Amino acid sequence: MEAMGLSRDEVLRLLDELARRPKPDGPVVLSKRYREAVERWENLPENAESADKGWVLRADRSWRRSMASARLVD
Amino acid sequence: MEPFARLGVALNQAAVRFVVIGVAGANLWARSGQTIFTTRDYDLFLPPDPENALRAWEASDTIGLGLLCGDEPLDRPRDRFLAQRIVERRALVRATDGAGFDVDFTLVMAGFEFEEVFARSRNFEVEGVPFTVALLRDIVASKAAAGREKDRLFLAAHAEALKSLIEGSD
Repeated sequence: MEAMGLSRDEVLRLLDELARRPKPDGPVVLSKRYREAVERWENLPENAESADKGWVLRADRSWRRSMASARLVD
Repeated sequence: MEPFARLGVALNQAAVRFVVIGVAGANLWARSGQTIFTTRDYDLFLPPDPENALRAWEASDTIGLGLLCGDEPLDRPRDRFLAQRIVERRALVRATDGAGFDVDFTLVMAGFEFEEVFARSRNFEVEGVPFTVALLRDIVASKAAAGREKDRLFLAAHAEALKSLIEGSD
């Protein structure tokens, strides 16, 4: 945060300000390019039928463990 | 074995019909750790079938997961009558180990019916356990249809993750 020139209090104030702003709501229109990219993503070799996805859960668990041990640094 | 894989074994043995959806479903389409998104729970989409819901509850029970409806434990007896009421109301039932592993049995996927999602789903394996996962296009379309703040955030982050493929389409 210091590298960005903002104190923690300033960051928290900005986040509070952001949280108070009205949020957009309702359906989102997906662009054609994004939808086509999603379909190409589905057809990648690593997403073939019966692909092994155990690594996804292991990665998620590893991340959760890291976050569980995270502490706020002043 | 991962809790999710253990639940998959129990659900498959009980012949429960379900499709993995939501952010957890999208994560199963990831290519690397950089395209995995954080989520607090797993969303399993069930058909509006009381018998199927009952089997899902029983399977969860066999592996020691508690069941909640709202913030309260799911009523007992957990019979067809209760399952019928839950299905009619499209109520969400959560299976939890109380230690961070939470699975939502949902009867609703914005913009989609179960059978259409199930028909074009894909099977992936997690620790040798087969899981039926909604197509990524259906997951993102559902999030776009719901359009809540968290869905918008996910879609923005997801589009960024697919940036190379999107730009490559030029």
